[in-house]
Amino acid sequence: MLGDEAVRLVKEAKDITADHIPAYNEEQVRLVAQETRYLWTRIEEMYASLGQLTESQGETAETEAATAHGPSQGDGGRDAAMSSSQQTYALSQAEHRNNVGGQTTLYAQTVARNKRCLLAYHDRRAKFLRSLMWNVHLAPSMVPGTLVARMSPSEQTYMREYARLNASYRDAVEAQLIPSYGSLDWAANGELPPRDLLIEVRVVRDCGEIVTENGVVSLQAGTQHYVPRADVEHLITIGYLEHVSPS
Amino acid sequence: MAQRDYYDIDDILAGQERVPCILQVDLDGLGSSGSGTASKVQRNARWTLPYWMADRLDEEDYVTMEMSPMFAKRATRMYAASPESVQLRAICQYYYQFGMQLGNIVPDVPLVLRNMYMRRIQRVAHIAQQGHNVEALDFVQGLDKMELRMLKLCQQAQNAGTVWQQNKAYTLKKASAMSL
Repeated sequence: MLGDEAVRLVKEAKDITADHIPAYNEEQVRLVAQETRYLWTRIEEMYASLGQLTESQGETAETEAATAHGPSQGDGGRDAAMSSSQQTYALSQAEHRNNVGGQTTLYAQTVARNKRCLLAYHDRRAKFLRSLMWNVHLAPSMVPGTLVARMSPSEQTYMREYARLNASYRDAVEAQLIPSYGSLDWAANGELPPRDLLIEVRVVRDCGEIVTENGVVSLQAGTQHYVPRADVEHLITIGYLEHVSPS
Repeated sequence: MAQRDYYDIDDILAGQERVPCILQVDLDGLGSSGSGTASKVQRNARWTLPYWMADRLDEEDYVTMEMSPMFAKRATRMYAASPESVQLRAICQYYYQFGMQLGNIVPDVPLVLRNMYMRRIQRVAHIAQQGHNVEALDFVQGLDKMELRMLKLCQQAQNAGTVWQQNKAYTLKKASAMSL
């Protein structure tokens, strides 16, 4: 039925969770867009045919008027028969008009529905990408390759542009917001209020060295450190470090 | 429909529910294989259409939309007799959301929804607090999507208390998306 292809996309969008996103369904999107364009040309055709209908109906009415006012003696019966057949013709014309009207409405509604489904699909994916960007602290290069492979090229561009936009805003505004302190981690997790200033972390993957308030810390795999939270939070969210909670 | 509903995935899926209609004109494209095959349905034929389609066509009188069977008087009375034992998932996964869409044109439906919801949600909250409960399995399997979401939220809230007690509430975690 019309609109079924579009709903398939929406169902895929429903599968998106915080940790999982299916690959961009290029084929399905193309299919839905194609169906929509086809329906639109059909609508235009039907609208044009409706215009022609009205013209020919006008002509039929004119010829009927001409014959009615023509020689009337003895021809009245024939004229009556003619006009009744004109009437049935006019009725079926009206029926046909109604059919075309219904078909056009159906197609137009499907076009609107397809559009809505496409937009919702892309919007849901964009939402996922935005939260992903904040998770990697606006560093698109840190996104694992398997994840990037599931994005369409335009979505990858969207990710990079979004990160770049936020980073440039941060750079532009930071100096005015926090004149004294060095830098503020804009992508810090706003939902989890910081409880401790210093946290215990275990290194999962080699991070090299980082500069903290207390000096340079060398983060080698397997070591544990007691460092300021703000300096290492971004490494925790991408999985290089592991937060060891005091139990 | 409010602007925020336009992008709502659940709203779109709920609008896909079928309602019985009587066609007033010939229509094409209602076949199961899509608009490719020429399958014209004649006027005065009965056909089930998705709600988003039926609503619009009914407005213009190209079809006559009839009440969805799950909200018919008989069904409503049956469900009202014992709301907790109704397997909503089998009837319609989007019972409440579809009902809300219908409620825009049928004034009785919101009341029906409210009665069902108020009775069932108490049981849902109860189950969430209990943790593992084998007896309630039937009920949980019969929940519709909205109730399932509430169940998950309640369970998460329950867990949050335990997690806090274990001193794990403020642990920074690796972003779940990065595990892919």
